[in-house]
Amino acid sequence: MTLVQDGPPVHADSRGVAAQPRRQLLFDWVVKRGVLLVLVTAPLDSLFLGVLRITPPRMGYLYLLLASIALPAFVAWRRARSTDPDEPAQHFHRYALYSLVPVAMFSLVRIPALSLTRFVFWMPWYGFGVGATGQPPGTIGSLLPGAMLYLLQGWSLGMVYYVLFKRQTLLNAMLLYTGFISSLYSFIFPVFIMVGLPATPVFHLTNYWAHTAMGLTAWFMPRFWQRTWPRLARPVRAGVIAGLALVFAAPFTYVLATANLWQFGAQAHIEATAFDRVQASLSGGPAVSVERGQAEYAYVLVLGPRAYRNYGGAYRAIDATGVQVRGQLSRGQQVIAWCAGDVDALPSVRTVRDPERFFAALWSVNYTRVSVRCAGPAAGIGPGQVINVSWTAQLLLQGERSTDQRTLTGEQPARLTAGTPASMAPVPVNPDQ
Amino acid sequence: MSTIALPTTTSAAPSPAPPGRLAALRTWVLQRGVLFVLLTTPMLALFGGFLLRYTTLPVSTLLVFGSFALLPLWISYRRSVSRDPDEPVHHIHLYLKWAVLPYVTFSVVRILPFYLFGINYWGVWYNFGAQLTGERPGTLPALLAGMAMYTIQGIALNTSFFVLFRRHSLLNALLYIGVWFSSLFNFVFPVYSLAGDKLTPTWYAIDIVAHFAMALTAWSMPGLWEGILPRLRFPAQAGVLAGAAVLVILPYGFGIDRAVQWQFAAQAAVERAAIAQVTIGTEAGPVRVTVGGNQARYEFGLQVAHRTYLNTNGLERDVGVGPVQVTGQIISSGRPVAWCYGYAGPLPSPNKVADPRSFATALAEDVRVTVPVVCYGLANSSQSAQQVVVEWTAQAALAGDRTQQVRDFRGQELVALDRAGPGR
Repeated sequence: MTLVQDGPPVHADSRGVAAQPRRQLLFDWVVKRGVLLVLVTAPLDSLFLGVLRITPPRMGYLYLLLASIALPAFVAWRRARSTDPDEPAQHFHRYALYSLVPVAMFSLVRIPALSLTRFVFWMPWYGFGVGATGQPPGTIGSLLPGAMLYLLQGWSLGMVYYVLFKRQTLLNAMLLYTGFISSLYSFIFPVFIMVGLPATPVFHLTNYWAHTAMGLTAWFMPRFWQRTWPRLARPVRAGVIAGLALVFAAPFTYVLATANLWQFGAQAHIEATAFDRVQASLSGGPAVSVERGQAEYAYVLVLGPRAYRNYGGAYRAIDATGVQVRGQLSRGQQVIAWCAGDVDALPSVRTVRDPERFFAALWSVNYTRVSVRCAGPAAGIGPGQVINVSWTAQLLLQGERSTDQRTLTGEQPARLTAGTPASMAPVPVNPDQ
Repeated sequence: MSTIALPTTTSAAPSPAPPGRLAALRTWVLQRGVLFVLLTTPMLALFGGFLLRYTTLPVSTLLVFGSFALLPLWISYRRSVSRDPDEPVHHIHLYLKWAVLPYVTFSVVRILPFYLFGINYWGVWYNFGAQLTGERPGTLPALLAGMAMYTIQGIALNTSFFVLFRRHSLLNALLYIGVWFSSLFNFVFPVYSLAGDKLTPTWYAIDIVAHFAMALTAWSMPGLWEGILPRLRFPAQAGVLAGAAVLVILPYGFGIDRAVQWQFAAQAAVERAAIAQVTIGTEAGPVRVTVGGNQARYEFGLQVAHRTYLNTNGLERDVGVGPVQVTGQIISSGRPVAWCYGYAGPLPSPNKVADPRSFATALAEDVRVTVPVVCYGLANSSQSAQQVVVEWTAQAALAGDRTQQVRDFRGQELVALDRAGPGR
């Protein structure tokens, strides 16, 4: 990296004299490149504020919101004030256009990864879209905002190269993209972003390969536009523009087409299979307590399994809402108690943002216990007796793309145990609802 | 100011023949139109996602994110190719600076009416912030996010004045900001937003005065920044700049201070009082009984009422109720003959209805909400009874913006039986 210097040459003959130009150099760098770097990386910084859990994801984007005024103001101000023709603000529009091609190339070279290794490179786009807009994951509603945010992040990453380096050499490009950004990406994504998706060697290889392609493209852009482009004849120029437009549009078109033609259908099929696996079963025997001529009972119904792997191989859990359990306890043909239990929503892993905590959370919700209480006349009831427990559980199962209202029924003999219903988990009353 | 010389290869002198209308339009679009559209994306997001609700506010805000890259690109590009020194792109950094004091003045002049009439100017910031970020309305995160929205809207609106008009005259400022925008906002906000607010003539008057103050400030900015300020000596210049800084901080600082020092506690007190007023009681009428086989099924309803209150922003709101869990018994001749259970998730509430008219309808519909309760017992237990005692306990989660509470309700009532079905 080369620092830009406008002032008089640096004299190192005395400490005092040398210190001032050094400060001046630093000041110049901050004004000409530092501030621009901070502003131009706002899409990445906003993402990181949420990803690193410094702020809630949508609060992080407030920085991008404010930068949308600050960046044009700063560029306009520097264009008016600067006398340095090398200052990046003087070339902002060129750099901004150059940066569109590397970001497209980053995804273009990952397209074969889907058919070769089933690596779905656009899966984080949904996360970006959900994080910024709150739209449901796995839908066009979150894919389109996610694609736009991905484009802005990639554009921002391209701009970093042009803003940071005065000498836009191949070495600098490789150091930035293949060395620094790939390593950062290989660390940040598995540790902070890839929830429920273990990072395989394929992920890391694709990451290094794609960032290298991005770096090569970023390096090539100024050379092409400054050296090759002026020498081209008009028809060739038209062909080049068309080619670049194609390169830019290809990954986004591919993702939209593949999402519509393959992903949504595949995910719906996976979810339907996962819905079919959800069952309700009795856990242990009902506890009974008899008081003032009445018998009160409590038992636990277990709902699950809910874990599944989505179209991209990431672990997820089926959500369930409006859980309503009704049933009876009977002895022979005689109904001895009537039962009920309700839960607004079973615990979900959707809000778990920490990949390290995800699997523990997933296995804790895979089978979920729902408390059911019953009451009836006391006549002749006591611990040790075998009764018949029957239940009907109604619940709305929800995946990323589909919902299904299910009714799960069951009947099972069970031995009564001594205990008070109060000692068991009550039906939760959640003040957050 | 600018030390980059504008290209001098072409003379800025007017062309011999007047340009055609199409060429003039093209020039206008290139010089002012595109810049105007890119600058006003915060206003477009406000109208598309908040007021007219074509989509959600976070989705419409993507327009602003798009302008994050496009606006500086356009500014940089036009500065490179423009030969017209009047083109706004050459002065946009000044316009953005000039735009700051007018939009803060818009709020500063509303501080006094807050004390006089109790109408606060930052109430709508909570709505901006809550819709943009999903944070709970009435909280500090929602307020801070709303401030960010207000900031970019204010800058966008005032910069658009400087971009749109070549002559930054008093008349243009009063017409554009004072008349046009105050009329627009006086129509749009009450009709499409501010659900639950009962707007008085005072509200409209304050809004108009604030817009005119903003217009006057916008008009005075070129004179202040480029005329008066450079002519002042250091102490006076520093004083003016310090005054401007205080003015910029004032509406934010005052809003945060009042929110933290007064509003949050006042709101919590209002909500606690509202929560204490909520009632749950047995719905009028008999208990319906149907008998099937050797079982009897009894049905009655519990009515949840008195949920409406006025919050500290002057908006009508309902206490959020739910889940509600009911247990109980039907007692006949002093002994339980059936056991009851009822459950309701969050009850319908108008609080999240953004459209004022739909809000009023929802508020009226939700005045009384019924929670159904079903009881089961053996069929022969209450065969001859005409009346039974209904005894119930309900546990309900109650919530306002800042307060949450779980309350227990109880009831015991002598009720007639309405027999129906096969056992009649």
